[in-house]
Amino acid sequence: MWLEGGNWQFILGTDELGRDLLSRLIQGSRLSLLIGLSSVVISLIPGIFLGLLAGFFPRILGPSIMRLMDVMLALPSLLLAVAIVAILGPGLINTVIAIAIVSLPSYVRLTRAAVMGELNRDYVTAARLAGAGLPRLMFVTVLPNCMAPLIVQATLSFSSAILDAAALGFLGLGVQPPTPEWGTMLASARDYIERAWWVVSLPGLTILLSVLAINLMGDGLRDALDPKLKNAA
Amino acid sequence: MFSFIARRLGLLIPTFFGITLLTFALIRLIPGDPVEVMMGERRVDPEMHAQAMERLGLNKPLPEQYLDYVGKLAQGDLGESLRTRESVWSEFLALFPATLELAIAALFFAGVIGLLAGVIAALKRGSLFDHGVMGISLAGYSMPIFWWGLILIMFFSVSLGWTPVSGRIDLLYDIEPKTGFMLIDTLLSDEEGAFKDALMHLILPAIVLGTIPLAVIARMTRSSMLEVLREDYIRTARAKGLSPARVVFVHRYRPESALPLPLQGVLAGVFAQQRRGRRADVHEPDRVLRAVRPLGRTAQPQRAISRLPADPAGVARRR
Repeated sequence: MWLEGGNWQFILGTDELGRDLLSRLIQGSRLSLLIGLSSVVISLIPGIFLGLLAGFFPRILGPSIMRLMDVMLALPSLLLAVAIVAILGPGLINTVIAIAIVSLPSYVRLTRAAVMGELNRDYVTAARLAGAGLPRLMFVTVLPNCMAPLIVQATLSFSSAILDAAALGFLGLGVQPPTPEWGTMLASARDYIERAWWVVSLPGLTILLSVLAINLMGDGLRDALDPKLKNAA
Repeated sequence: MFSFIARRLGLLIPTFFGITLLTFALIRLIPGDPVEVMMGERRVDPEMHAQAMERLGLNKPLPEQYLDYVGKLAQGDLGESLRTRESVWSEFLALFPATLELAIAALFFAGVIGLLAGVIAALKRGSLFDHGVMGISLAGYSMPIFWWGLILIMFFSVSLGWTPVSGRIDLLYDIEPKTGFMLIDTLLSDEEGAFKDALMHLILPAIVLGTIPLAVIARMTRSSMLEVLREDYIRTARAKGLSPARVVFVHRYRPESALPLPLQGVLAGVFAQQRRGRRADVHEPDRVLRAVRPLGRTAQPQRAISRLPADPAGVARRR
């Protein structure tokens, strides 16, 4: 091994309680992906629904939904997430809920903008003339044509959800120890910063790598689905 | 045009009330007794407790408390901190220059390096340097910066000993806060080496905070630069026999350097808000760590969060 006293039984070494770091990192990946995926799904579904409503009812309902979203956007997202977790109490499920609430406005705004763009198209008028009811117009006619930016946004917020979850864990508000969540592991490793570089650097490296991978996927999806945006940063 | 602007501004009013309502609700919903927060862990006898509640106006019904809060807010009174008993304004004004100083330093770092890297990458499109810059900037974009800060501290402060681990200035120096900007204050004082010390304290936090904007700026500069390079006037300038450096920095550089600027403005706002949460543990360790650290450890979120009730409008105001 590279380090004095290392042995092959624990390839990446052990943490302050003698637990194998590699196993905990691998176990933690399940948690991070779970948090990312579930918070995206939980905010995507109501986000799309609210966005559709806001797009279809531009008189009273739409603006009130959008004002509500503005209010949520006005607070810094991590601060809002911290406040929500402080109210609900730390833990896995509450972390997911907090991240889902925080990322809701972006879906609503995106869906509404896409819906407004589609509503004046001829095919919508045609569907309306053919007697399509409101739910059919919303979900069958318009929604599928708004999906491309939503899919890209969902991928990108997947990665930011992982980052936010790790940040909450790092602040001691996310998933609680001894659960091997990456941010939580980092927080408890912080005290050993002078003696054991591996317990500090490796959890962060896994966060970086997974977020990077998902961002690369998001870039690829954007190029494939939304060629207009190809060269934007 | 005017009616459009007026309508947009009119929308601010309901949004503002929404924000006050939301912050008020969040703070009231956070579990914990404000009087206990004030008194610390000691047991408070019920009579004193009732008195304190009376004094703070916390025994009134919630809608009335909300109206009090908004009424005071409209007069510019942000209330006082439950913990330090100082007015929120004075706490805010004392801390804000530090935030601003750090945000400016980070943007300076990100802007200079990001523009240079983006321009060179675009000029040498397809080269190793180009791929390197784009790869690194994508990594920077994905960076968990609370970890990045730790890594840099570990390397530069602990292993190499180049920069201090935390704080804004060494305890050796006694700097009178005239402007609140440590760099300016140290210049104004006649203490030897104080400026350099303050600078060393600022460098690492600025780099960490500038990492994500740096990545964004480098990518945007490169792509807008690539577009400009295709324009005819660049070929004309080269044909006139202008030196390559002049073409790059005068002719090519200008049009797109205007583009990332608004971006930087936006980011400056973003960071001023997010700094406290993300990069808590380097720049102002005692104040911020006090706020952040005990959260998980003591399982008493309300104690740590007591900074929030102190500062509901400060949160809104930071925008």
